[in-house]
Amino acid sequence: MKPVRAFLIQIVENRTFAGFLSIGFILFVWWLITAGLGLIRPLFLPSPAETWDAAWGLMNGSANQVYGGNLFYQTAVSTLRVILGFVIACLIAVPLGVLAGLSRAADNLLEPIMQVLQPIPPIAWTPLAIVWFGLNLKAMLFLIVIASFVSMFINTVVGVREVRPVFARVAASLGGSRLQTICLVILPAAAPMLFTGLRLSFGRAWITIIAAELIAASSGLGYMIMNARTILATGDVITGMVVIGLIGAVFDRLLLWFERRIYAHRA
Amino acid sequence: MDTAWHTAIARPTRDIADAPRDIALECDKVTKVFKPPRGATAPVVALHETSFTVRDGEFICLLGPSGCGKSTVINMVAGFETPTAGRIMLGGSVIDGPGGDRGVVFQEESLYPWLTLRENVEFGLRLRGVHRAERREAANHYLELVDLSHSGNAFPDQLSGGMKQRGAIARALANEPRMLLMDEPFGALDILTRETLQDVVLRIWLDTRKTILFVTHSIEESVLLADRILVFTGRPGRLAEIVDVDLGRPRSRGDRSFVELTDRLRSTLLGDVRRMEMGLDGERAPPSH
Repeated sequence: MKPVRAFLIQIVENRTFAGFLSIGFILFVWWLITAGLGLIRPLFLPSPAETWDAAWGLMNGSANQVYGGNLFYQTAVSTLRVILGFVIACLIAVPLGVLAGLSRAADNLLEPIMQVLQPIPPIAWTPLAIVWFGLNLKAMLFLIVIASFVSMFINTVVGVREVRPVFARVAASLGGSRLQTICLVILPAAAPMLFTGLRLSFGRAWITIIAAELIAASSGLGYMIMNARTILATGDVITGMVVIGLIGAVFDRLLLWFERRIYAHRA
Repeated sequence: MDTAWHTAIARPTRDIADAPRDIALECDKVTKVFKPPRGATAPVVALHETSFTVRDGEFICLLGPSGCGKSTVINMVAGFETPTAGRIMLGGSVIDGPGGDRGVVFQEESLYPWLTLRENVEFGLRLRGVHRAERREAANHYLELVDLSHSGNAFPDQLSGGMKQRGAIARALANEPRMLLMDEPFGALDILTRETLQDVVLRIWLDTRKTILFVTHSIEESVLLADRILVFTGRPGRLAEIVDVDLGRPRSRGDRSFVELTDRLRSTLLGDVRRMEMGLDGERAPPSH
């Protein structure tokens, strides 16, 4: 094998290095077709440098009159909305999920409802949300709850059902009450599945809030990028998109790290 | 196995049993019928009109092949199942569900994987609201009883099969139940570990004099451990015979009387198993005892 080819293979087999290589390549092409060769007009796709300038401007609030706040403000608004809605969704979904997981009767009643709700993309609820709650926080929260509720419920039910029956019997033979068994045995045992549900549901919630903000909000990252379009600030749009992707990834990693810390023993 | 404690506690069999003891458990014409499984029409008679009593401090083995009702009996005493007919009484009152007075050691792994060994052992006490310091002390005492004093901080997945079962025994004991129910606790372990654990159980029993119901399909194990053996036969499951094990302790597998008893039991059981397998089980009047 020629030494050059061997060297190249070594590079691509190292994940980090190969990653840098391909991302770098994309950035290079971006630069090339915008600033380098001037093939694309700045309105359609600003160059990397122009995008960075736009990002900087967003961060220090130079366009605050247009958007109502700088980049950090918009990020905070979207993030807080989704966290709040997500917490509410969990407070409803987890107890119902435990109930459905433990009781056939409850499951028979609840499951069909979930089956009907699940295929509807949460964003399709936006018109209804606006009609019911108006163009405000309540509508946003409603949409987030809808987005996260069903998948959190389903994951909870499966998690509870997968708990080995012997665990509950152990608790009973040690004199535990039903409530103690649920709180101290079933929930910790089902937790890995619940955490997976948390990550999945949070992902869905994040997607939904951005989409909802595109059409039904006056603040937040989704609102910002939609508004940027109207003033032809494509650099702002791209910056917004990058931040949206980043926040989504950060939360996912955070939940993953949290899960690993609590379950260091690989339940 | 010739250890110091074996010789230290050597005694003829009947001196303790002679003192009158309370009846701990009473099974009165207990029958258990299960609904037919999918595809079948006939209900399954897991247990047919079984009666026996157990006194405080006795070590009772339930012996028999698979499907003869012995596990059904333990499940009903534990409270996980209820009899279709007849009743089971613990200390005078009918059993109607599981409870802390009957500790259970299961055959399968049952320690909670998200708790350390010590936290598992003290779990019963935690359910009862015992304070942390007291719980810790009790857990350490029982861990020592099963030779696991140094493994308290380990998680179950770091322990061997034998250690996990010892942990399960410690957990059941720490709750100070009136009776210990063990459902083939060593069935999933290799022979060498099993023999070590048999010693552990014997030592615990001699130390605490707990009433123990021990389910097994090993004739040797039952003769080694039990004061009395309830021999079950199957299809339909019923108590065929109650055998008094008149051997002094400590018992040795090589002793002549030991071998004679195991041989006798083996021929009885093998005959039953052959009949079960060939579907030739006829009517046999259950003995009274």
